[in-house]
Amino acid sequence: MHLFKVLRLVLGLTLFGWASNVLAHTYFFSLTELSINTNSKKIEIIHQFTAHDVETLIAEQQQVNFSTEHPKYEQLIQQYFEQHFVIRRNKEVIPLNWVGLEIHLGKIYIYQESNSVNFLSGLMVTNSLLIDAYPKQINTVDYKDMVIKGSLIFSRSQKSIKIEDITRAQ
Amino acid sequence: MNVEFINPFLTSMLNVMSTMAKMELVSEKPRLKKNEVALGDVSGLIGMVSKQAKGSLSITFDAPLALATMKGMVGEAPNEVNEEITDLVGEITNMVTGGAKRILSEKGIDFDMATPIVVSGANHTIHHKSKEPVIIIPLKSADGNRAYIEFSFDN
Repeated sequence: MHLFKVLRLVLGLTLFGWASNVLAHTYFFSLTELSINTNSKKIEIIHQFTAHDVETLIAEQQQVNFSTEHPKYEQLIQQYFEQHFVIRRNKEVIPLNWVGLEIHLGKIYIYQESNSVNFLSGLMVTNSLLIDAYPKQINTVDYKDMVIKGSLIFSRSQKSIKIEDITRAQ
Repeated sequence: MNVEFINPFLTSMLNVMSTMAKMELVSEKPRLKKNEVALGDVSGLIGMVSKQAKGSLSITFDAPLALATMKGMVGEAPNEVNEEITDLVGEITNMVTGGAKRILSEKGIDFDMATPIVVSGANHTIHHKSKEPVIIIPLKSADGNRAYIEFSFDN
């Protein structure tokens, strides 16, 4: 490595030296929280994505201009998420109800819930959201119930992971 | 420099590291930085402009912390700083700035962000365009490695 690699910020950022300009983010990250509501016994799921990433993907898939102005905005996003985020127990899919979505300052928050489930251990989670479109998409799923908690990392090389009874909730 | 402007970046950085890398960093005492030599091995730098202020932010990682961060976020990591790590640091810089942008927006402060630039290597230097002092906040990980946030803004 060279000893002097000098960054110069001239208003819009002009660079002198050895540096990589991250023109478009090569890594894409999402965060999903998966928990059991102790009162309702339902799994509650909150996905957080960069809205632009989701919109770009659906625009390409549907070959349309896709933004919040699109008449089927929520419907197309719902279809996509229901295809690419699936939970199973003993190979049987646990139906997830679509609760809705919110967009706030560039982030899209998507809410889903299941019918009655008592524990997360043993669930097989499949999360291929955006992964096929973006090779470096990384989806983190944080899970927690009364007994266990932990984190799963999904990527192109691993789209399905079983929640194991390893980490005890504190 | 207005603390109200700085705290969201610190909050966002700690939040990104905690939620995405599963790593709790502890912020140490802020101080003025006296020269341009980065204290870590790989830096992401981003410029920002708002009606209230104009300047830049950098996030620098010690190499071991950058590698551990990648392990935490992606599940695997190389043995040394490479293009994967610089990509990641660029994205972290994006995420931290984006998080701060959301916090500041709720306070009525909106700013535009440039595309982040990443520099790596021993003794690389970071030059902030602002004429104001550069404030640096070290963030220490449990294993003693550090990340550093630097700010410099013209009011």
